[in-house]
Amino acid sequence: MRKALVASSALHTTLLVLAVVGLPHLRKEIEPEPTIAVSLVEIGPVSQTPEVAPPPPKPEPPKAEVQPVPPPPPAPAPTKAAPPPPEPKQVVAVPPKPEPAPPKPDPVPEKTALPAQPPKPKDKPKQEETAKKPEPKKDQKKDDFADIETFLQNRLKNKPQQPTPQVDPKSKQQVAINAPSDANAKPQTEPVTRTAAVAPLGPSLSGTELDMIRQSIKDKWNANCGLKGFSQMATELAVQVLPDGTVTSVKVERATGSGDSIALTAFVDSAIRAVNQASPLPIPKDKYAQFDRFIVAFTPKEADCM
Amino acid sequence: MMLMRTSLSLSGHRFIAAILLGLLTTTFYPNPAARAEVRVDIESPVPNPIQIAITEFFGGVPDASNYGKQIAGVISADLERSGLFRAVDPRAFLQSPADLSQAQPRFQDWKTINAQALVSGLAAIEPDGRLRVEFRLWDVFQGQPMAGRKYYTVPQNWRRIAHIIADAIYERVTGEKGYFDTRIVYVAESGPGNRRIKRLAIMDQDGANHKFLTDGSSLVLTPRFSPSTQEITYLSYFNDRPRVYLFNIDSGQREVVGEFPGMTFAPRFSNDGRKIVLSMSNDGNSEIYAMDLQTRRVQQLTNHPSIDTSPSYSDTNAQIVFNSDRGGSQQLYVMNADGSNVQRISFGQGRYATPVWSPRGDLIAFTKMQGGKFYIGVMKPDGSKERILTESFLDEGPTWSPNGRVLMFFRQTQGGAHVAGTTKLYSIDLSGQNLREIVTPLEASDPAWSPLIP
Repeated sequence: MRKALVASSALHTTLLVLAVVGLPHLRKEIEPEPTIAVSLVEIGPVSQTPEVAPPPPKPEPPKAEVQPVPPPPPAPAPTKAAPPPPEPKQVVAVPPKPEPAPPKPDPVPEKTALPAQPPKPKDKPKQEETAKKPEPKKDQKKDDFADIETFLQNRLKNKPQQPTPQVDPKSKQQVAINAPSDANAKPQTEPVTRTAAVAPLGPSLSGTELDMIRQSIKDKWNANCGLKGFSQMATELAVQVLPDGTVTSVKVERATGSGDSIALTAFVDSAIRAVNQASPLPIPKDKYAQFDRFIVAFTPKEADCM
Repeated sequence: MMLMRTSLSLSGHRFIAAILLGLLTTTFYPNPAARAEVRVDIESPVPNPIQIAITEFFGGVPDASNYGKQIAGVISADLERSGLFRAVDPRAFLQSPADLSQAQPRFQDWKTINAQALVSGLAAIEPDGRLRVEFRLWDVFQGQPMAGRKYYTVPQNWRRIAHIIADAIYERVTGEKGYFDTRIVYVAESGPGNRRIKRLAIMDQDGANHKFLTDGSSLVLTPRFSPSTQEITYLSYFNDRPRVYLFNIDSGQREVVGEFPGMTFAPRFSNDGRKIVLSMSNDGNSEIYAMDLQTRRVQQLTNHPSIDTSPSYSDTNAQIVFNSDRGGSQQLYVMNADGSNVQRISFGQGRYATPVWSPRGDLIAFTKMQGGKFYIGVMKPDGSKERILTESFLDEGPTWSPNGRVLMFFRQTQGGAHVAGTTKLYSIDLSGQNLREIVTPLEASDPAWSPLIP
């Protein structure tokens, strides 16, 4: 009897100890996963990127991945060719060869572009001035494009020929600083786009990926939050980036606030500054398709920083 | 979606081509209507200062260059002191003032040194002897000018021009009015504790151009600036009785405000400068009165057997905040400007005193005493959202910068057995950050901030 009792209690104790030691997670409070606000994004069933482009040796493959390559028969040609025309003035700034091609679905990417540039002679000199100054960065960019071009040349040999997508990013990049309006290109090709837009967009965005982008911008947003009515202000910016995350255009879509216009202007400026300063943004390379144009909304809550 | 599924069933390179087509078009031809846009929400900013590069204003000739250099220095000090800006070290600059005076800024260079904003300028002596100063404020990232102005003045006035420029920059970048072209009047103290000499003194907001306004023969207390004119009101003892004075800083004229039957305290202007509100005591009970400065008519606003004092008008002059011990301990109350509708607004632990309504209307600053310590804090006019900004052995007497962003107050350190504590002026940002001492030649108490100088 005694023995049994001892044995039983010993066993129970062991069991208890085992339970305590071995199953600690039962004692732990279950920590709620941090809530993450996620924007719903259309989901593409397949990640098409890998198939598209096993990039060449160069260090900038992702950039190349997205631009490459010529669609099949339909009529997409004018589609991407359309955007460039509005920008030629800025583009002119770059003396080197690689110029954007005008609308024509011309199989020869670069050179043709140059002659096709006569648009606004009087604008040119000034733009040229400003654009020339940023020497260091430009060199960098040029190299990137050189890579892309060689890459594309190679690609084009293997694949059906078509227009000149690589033109586009270039013009965008040149425009970067002073042309926040490059998004509104010609609407006439819209029907084509509409069908096309239903095509796969790439894998869906994860909350973490959005968070990284959010954090990188937030870290640079040094708005004056002591401003009267700060928490009633809000602005939405339409942002465009290159595949490497470089911000090429920031446009104010919406700005609201209870304060005076001076306060709101400063608020919006601080938001634009934050996006520009966060460039390049950590865009997931395989999901660039979703970032050709996206919205960054600045909506402060009360007493967030006071 | 349909299209995607079908494309999946397509074979080989047609499938790839279809995807590529989609990719290309969606990539290069944005059409937000066709799909949901990615949206990134940002809710709170980081409290980092704005990096600003302030170059010397280019003068060319030595005289003008000297002014240009000093002006840039004052602008830089003003903006830094606000805590909202950090001046980039000029030794890092890659573009010279001379170069900037000829051409556009090389924005890439300024980006390289992390400047978010850039200030360039010119200083020149005109043939008629006047000083001409121009400045330009640039947004480095957008590569655009944000503001620019030109001023003419007598050369001795260069400091004011610098403050005015600093105000313009501050306003454009932060979105609220500046406060650098302002002055501080305060009580300068000297001598031992039992024979303390207290003089009225005035200085620029940055401590420059200091001068005494009274000679110290009679004690002065509680100077207050008119929010709309360059006038102050203060208390001075005459035949051992405190009296309320008006002092015009520009003309140097001084007058007694009315003869009251009792002792008058704590005078303060209304925001239009037309009235003075003060407390007057008879037999130990003090009440609040308002006096029209033109007609000199006096109106009694409170009538209560307890002590009501330290009145301060709201920004619109529609209400008055004051402190009273009618509830048992010293607390803050708000009433309509005619004395009606008295509401208690402070409900925290401790006692509250010297309430001051912010010029922008959204907050009331106060001194709080609790547990043997003093605090400067703010709350909303309805008493909510109390926030303590400072704490020490003795912090007292907050005064608002004219833009309602910064508070100045005085702080006395605890004396030892044989050492008296010292009293100095400090300023603190509304965020509770950026505590700074305002350097004065003597000990200093009871600061009052002027409005922007017209």
